[in-house]
Amino acid sequence: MSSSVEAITVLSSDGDEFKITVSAAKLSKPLNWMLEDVCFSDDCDEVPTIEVNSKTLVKVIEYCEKHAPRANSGASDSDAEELKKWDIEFMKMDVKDILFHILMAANYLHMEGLYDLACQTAADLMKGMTVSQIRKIFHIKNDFSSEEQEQLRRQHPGCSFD
Amino acid sequence: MASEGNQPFLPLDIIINILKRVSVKSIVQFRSVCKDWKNLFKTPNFIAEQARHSAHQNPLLLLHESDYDYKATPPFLRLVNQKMETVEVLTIPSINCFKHGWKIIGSCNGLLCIQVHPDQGRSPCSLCLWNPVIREVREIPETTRNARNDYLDMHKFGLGFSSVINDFKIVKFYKQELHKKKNKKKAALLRHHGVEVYSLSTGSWKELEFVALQNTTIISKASSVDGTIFWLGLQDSCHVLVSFDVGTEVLTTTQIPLTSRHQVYKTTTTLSVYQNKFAIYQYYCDCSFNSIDIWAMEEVATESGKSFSCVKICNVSTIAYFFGPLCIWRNEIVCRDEVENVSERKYYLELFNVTTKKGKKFPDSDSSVYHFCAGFNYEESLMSVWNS
Repeated sequence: MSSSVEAITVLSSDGDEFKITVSAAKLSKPLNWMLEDVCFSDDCDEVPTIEVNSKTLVKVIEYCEKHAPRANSGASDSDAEELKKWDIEFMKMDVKDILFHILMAANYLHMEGLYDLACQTAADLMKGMTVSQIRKIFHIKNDFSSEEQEQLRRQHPGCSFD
Repeated sequence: MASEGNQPFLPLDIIINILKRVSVKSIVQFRSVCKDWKNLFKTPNFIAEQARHSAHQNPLLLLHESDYDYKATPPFLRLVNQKMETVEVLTIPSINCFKHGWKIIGSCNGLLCIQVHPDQGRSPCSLCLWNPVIREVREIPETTRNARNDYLDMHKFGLGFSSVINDFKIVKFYKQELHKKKNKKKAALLRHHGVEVYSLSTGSWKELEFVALQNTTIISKASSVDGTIFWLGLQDSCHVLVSFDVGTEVLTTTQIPLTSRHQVYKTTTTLSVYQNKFAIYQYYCDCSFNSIDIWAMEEVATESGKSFSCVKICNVSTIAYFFGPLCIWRNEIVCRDEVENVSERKYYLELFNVTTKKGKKFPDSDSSVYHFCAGFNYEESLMSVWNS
């Protein structure tokens, strides 16, 4: 890899091209491996594909670019505090549509920080949801028979199946 | 990828990673989502992971208020959140041993250890473990050392949990029955004569080596932090810290330089956790002064195992008013005092901050008529009382 390269181009699963700086790409192990394996110099025309859709990849790259300076150099407490605030704002996006995609992407790209953040956001969102809302977002069918439901209600008064 | 509202199907390992970050209250509610989830929430691995994620984040304050006449005024158990509001009144299990006098002797990782009054209950158990969130109660069998004339404060107990061995243990320091010691050394009767430990996973008691504790009398309630249970003891009129390692079952004593003040009107010494360290706080008062000392215990590795060194981290003197400290909760001291009206006694609760030297009244504590109150740090958990 040529040391002059500062940004690389990747393709999303939708086929769109995205630029990501080398320092930001290092937050992801698989991307890091790609950096080492694939030739990214100017005369190389191979563009690697990342199995993440465009909408999600935009967010993932945004996260990487924001976190890269701190991950690469280490940062002061005030920076960490600022980054925490930024994370909260970042997760305030249209989560219902995109959060699970971000979770899958963070898992696939081995990005621990983003994965933990997205898991915690999902957990916080589940608070206050009804059982049927939970089943809907996780695509789960209620597989309790009516006898089993009755038994659970007896054991745990107040338990709801809706 | 089927998309309802564009939500992908998440693989199970991701779902588990989300669920272990969900609050215990929600988990309990989500048991009825499907069978897989219901079973998942019972696996030791999930329970341990969930506990790890929620550990020490937001301990609630558990207040146990009770009165002299047990039957006339049933005890009142409530949980208080960080805004000092009562969030839940706990329903006491409707089983035999809870129908008579009882008290909480330990709160650890979501489990409460309850000691039942033996005189009234005549119930086969003298100890119970209770997880209020998942509504599990387990009666702990009597030890052979239990005697008919036991009274409530005769033995000292402690409850602790070790995440290394994933097990809860109850420690009991017992005293010999009075009538068997007919003669002479009455002072010896005050001492503890043995120690037994109960493991939740084996479901049995066993006797422990007591050599290190010869001539020691346990004088405080227990407090447990990260796999160690602590008590305050007296050894030849010196204060010692008695510690029990839940994982290795090793008992140790450490001399601590607490001041004995015989001249003061009232001293209360309590074990607690302050700024994530195991701490001892001592409150004393007489006519002219009220004062609080907080000591933090630092673990020190020595050749013979572990030991503790004691550092005074805080001394607040000349506090303007008199109060009865209950426990340290979120680095502030929960105190209780009484207001004497013409017609009746009333009690109120306050949270005292040793740094600002200011107290904050609990909003809903004005009308408490209970004579007794005990406070505990409490963390909700899915830990089963049946096995670890």
